[in-house]
Amino acid sequence: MALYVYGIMRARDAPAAIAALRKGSAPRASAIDHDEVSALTSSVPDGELQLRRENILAHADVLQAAFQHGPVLPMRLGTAMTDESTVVQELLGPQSANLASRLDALLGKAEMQVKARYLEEPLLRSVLDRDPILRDAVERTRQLPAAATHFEQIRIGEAIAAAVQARQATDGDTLLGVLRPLALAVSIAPPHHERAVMNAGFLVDSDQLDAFDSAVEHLSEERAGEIEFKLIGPLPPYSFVSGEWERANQPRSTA
Amino acid sequence: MAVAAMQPQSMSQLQRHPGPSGLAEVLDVILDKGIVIDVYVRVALVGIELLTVDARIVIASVDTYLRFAEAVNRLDLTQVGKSETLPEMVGDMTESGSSGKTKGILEGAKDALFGGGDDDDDDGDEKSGSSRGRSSSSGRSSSRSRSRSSGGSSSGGSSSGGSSSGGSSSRSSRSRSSSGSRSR
Repeated sequence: MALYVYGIMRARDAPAAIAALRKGSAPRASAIDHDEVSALTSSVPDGELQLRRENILAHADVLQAAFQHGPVLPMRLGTAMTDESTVVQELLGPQSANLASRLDALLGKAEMQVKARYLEEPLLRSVLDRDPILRDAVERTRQLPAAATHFEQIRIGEAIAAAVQARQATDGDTLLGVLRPLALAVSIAPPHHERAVMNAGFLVDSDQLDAFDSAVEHLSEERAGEIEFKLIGPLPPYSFVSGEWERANQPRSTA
Repeated sequence: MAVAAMQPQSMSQLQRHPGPSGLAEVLDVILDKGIVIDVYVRVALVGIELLTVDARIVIASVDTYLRFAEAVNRLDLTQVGKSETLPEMVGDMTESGSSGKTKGILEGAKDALFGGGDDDDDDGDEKSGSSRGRSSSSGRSSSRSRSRSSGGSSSGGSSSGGSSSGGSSSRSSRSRSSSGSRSR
């Protein structure tokens, strides 16, 4: 057997997280402690992991449940280590002070993910309204049998895609400008959809969560009928634990 | 951990979820994120199951173009649009019985469809680069899904960090293939 590692918590928070996992519907986990940090683990078979749906969901469920009891540093999906001593020697031991201070720095902070996308029909109408030549092309192409128009369809679609991308850039910047000041850091992800406007993770302090929520709500009302918004969180800081991330321009004291 | 105050769902359409829902969304949230120790990432992401739910779309691909084209074909164009229009031209086009125009359309297709080159958001590269870009973008889309299935690809590093000035610069380098030489 090997040990699947979900994430890392402060050792003092791990017992509550483990107890909660035992009671809930998320998979059980154990804690391996070292100095001030703990790794949350489960036993898995040796060898390559076949990650099926239930494993993927379990990874997120365990971290989400644990997160209710303290800061969490998620591990990359699919990380498994040989045994307990390997976890200590290779993961917790070499970095324990660093991990502990990162966890302390994340206390009271969560990731909020904002996924915004254009509604299809208003978007397409708007694209055609601003581009009479394209609109004309659409009208003409409709008159022809489908077999004759495959190439034209691609050209039309490409022109639409380009127009959409241009708007995404502008609107994305506008939305970002509203939300960035309310966050400690931002992580821009690749578009989640071909009509995406924004797909971003924001690291938000707990005392700013209400303001952030209100700001997204306000944007959603402002752009109703044009852009639909999805707000996910509070999440463990998935987007903020590997390498650097872009910092919002507001120094904030963590004290 | 403080939880965001629950706001009443107004007319705003804002969807709130405490966590990701559904496999596609979970993957989008957690994939390629988190602390990584390469040698211990032992994942063989089961290809078929994941590819069918992989919600990550490559923006500039032939599939996307065809979807947009199909969607625009379903629009009822007799409705007047709400945003800026050139009233005279719209008036002409919406009554078009273009039977008189079809004779020449295949011969003059390219020019007729995209003649003037005065698309308001066009920087000129889109057309000349498009055939080149199309093949490279579809090439990129397949290599993206391949690299993801082997786990620990470079896509993880760039999505969460390493961008210099704006987050938008990393976004444009990921999602643009042919039609953007627009610098951000």
